[in-house]
Amino acid sequence: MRKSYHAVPLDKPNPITGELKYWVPYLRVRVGKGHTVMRSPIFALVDTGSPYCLFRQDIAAAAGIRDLTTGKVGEIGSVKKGVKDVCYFHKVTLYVESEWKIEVMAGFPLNLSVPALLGRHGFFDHFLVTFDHSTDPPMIEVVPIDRPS
Amino acid sequence: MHPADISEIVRNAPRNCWLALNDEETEVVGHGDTVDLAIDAAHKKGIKKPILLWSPEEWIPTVY
Repeated sequence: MRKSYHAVPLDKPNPITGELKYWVPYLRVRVGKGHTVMRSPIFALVDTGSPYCLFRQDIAAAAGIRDLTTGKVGEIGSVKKGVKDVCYFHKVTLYVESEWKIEVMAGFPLNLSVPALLGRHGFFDHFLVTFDHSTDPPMIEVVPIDRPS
Repeated sequence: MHPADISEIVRNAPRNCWLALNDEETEVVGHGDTVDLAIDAAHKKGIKKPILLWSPEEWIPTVY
């Protein structure tokens, strides 16, 4: 699958391009747990900088996780010096676009303001991803990794 | 404007909440503090399959 990045607004002009927008690689995903799946997809950012797939807490509730604290607990840091947060990990089903369904351990940080990130563990070990910035707008190509079952 | 350019569609939408867009990504059809509230707001407007986007307090290039 190959699709365009999305342009989102900037409140102040991009210092490099001068534009009041920038392009980001979003995919439509839904998160599910057991028999419960989010009723609608969200835009999730494909983020090589994130070690895990991370989602806001309220996504856990929408995906059927009743008690976040029953998950495996860990810590996650931020690029901001000294900032870290408790993160609860749950095995969830991730529905990517309308094409793929994968099982991942997803993290739900308590306080960090992550919206929805598709990171290295859970996403990039299931898909080969190409970020093509040679086009305008940039494109993202996602190809599932064929593993013997 | 490129169809994937949603910058002007969401620029003046509420902040620090989830936005519900119609499936064509051409209009904000609801918002809410949680994904479920945003979905409910879209359903009230007759949009059955919204797509949700987090609208931050400030639209700024962000490293998570």
